[in-house]
Amino acid sequence: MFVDGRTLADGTALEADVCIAGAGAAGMSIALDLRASGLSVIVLESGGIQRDPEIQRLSVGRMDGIDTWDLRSMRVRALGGTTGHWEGWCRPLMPQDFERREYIPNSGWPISYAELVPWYRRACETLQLGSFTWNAAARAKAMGNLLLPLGAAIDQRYYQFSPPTRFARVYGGALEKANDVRVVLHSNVTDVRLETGGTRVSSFTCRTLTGVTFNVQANRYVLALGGIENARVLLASRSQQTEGVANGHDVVGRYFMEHPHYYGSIGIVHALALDLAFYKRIPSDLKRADGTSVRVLGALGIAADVARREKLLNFSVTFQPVTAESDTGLLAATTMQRLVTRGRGEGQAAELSVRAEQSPLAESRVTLTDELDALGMRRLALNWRIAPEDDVQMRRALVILAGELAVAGIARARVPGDASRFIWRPSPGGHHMGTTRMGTDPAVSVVDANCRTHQSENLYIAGSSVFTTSGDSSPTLTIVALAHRLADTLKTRV
Amino acid sequence: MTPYRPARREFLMRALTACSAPFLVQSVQAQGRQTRPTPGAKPQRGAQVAARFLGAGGRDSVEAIGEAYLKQLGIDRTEEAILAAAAGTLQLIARSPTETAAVTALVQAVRRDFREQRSVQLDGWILARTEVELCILALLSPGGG
Repeated sequence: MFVDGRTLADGTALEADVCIAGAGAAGMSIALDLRASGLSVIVLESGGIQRDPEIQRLSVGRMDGIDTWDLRSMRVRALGGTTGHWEGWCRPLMPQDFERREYIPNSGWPISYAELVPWYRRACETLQLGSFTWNAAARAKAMGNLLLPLGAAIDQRYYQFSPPTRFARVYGGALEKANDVRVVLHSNVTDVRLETGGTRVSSFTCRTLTGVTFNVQANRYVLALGGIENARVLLASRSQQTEGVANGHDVVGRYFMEHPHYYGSIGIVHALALDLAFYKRIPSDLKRADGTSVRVLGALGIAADVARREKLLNFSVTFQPVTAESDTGLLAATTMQRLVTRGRGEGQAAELSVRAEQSPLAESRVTLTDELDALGMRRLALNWRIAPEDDVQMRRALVILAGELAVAGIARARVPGDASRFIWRPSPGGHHMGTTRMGTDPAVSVVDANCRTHQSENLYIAGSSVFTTSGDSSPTLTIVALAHRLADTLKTRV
Repeated sequence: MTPYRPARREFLMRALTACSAPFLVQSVQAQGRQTRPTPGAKPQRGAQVAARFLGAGGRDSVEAIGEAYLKQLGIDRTEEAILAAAAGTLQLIARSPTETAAVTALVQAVRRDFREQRSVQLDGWILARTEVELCILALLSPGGG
């Protein structure tokens, strides 16, 4: 059922077995799984059914590092969260993304890709994708398309596209009908209260923009507020501990990661008439439960063994044809076209879009400012940083990709900068990750392999803030997979 | 116009001999036997093979790449400098009995360059050393400068 928090009497105390803060992809996935489990559930949502500019202003923050999208518009404070405006890009993280790579400081999840696969499968259903199959060669063959004839150093991969699933529209009704789930709208967690001793959460203090204050008491608590807000709420909960909750080692808010995107700066020229259909966003043979076709998009990356040998972060490249004449470099694409085709036939220019992993960096972080929002909570400051070594790795990776395209006789590619500098400016992907990262060591992580905070035994965190490393894949599929896994954990532990 | 230097022929002979380019050595020797050295004399076969490899048309493009490479190397557009800078590719051409065989060898060399990371970056483009050397050799062909 839905409840409007603004209609509650001031000082109300609500009780449930599980309290979930946040009704986005993670929070709603958990709530859906906990229906009919014998557990009573309260879901707290900052917004209502529709987006409201006044509520969005609660997300305003200061940018201290690399510019990213306006936080006020990037995350949606309404039922369904950011699925209200996501584009539907889906790919799981890759096996190597979970592994410890000694050349990437602080890498290595405490869980493996294989362990997460059962929940990835369930997440595919939740996000209305096709089956959990990610073999590009098999997919292209099934679709009657060809992969580019590239060597073993290149890993061919592909995205599946969700319709995209708008959680409020697709799943809001199910939660509204559920007798054991109460979705309390217009309600913001402003303080996480701890029991004496500080090892258990005793309640969430909640406020509405109309001035109602109430609290929720539960056996288990889940923060599912997004990659930035999860950290903000923990840091802002200082009524009992000056450093905030679950932050005894000053890790909360650190290791913030984005997916640096690099658009259009690489020209590429095909020497041959190539079948590029697989590399366009086209309907595939994969079908949803309702029989509609799932769109896919082929992409290129570096093979895991080569990446390990060359000490490279993960990244994926997609491309789209452009006219060579639009390129105005010193050596324009038209010039390269003539070189590559050697005077025989037509070439084709394309722009590359690179979606990259970044190293987890302690100095890349969310902190609190002294400015207060309308609820009296301290606003955040986001200092997104990228390690200089990442630029070096990224450039080397692109040079390897360019070489492989050339070896195959397909193309020449342009990589901005030279051996001493990489001059491509990163754009954000709008993916906020890592601020309550998963790990076994409380000195460098906030939650354990079960998404439970190291310091509060009944406080769990869902969403991309638990990502130990980011990989290059869009995070939603992994967010939902981890949410389903956490729901199963909660069922067995409550 | 390429400036004439009295010591050019000696330089060419040394460069071509050093890189074992017998047909180019013969070409230059033949020129010396048959005619007075002229300011415009060029090792024609290397340039012809380069032109054939790079295909018909697009001379402006080839020149643009060649000029950019010379600029990156910091050398003037002189025969001596070009022959020295393209010594590796000249050597490959020289080992080939025919122009057709040379072109085939060059195609393989370009791929080998990329595979073995002997690449050159010009204005961001990642190119094989062999192909940029062919572009500067093409500057020596008639009409190429």
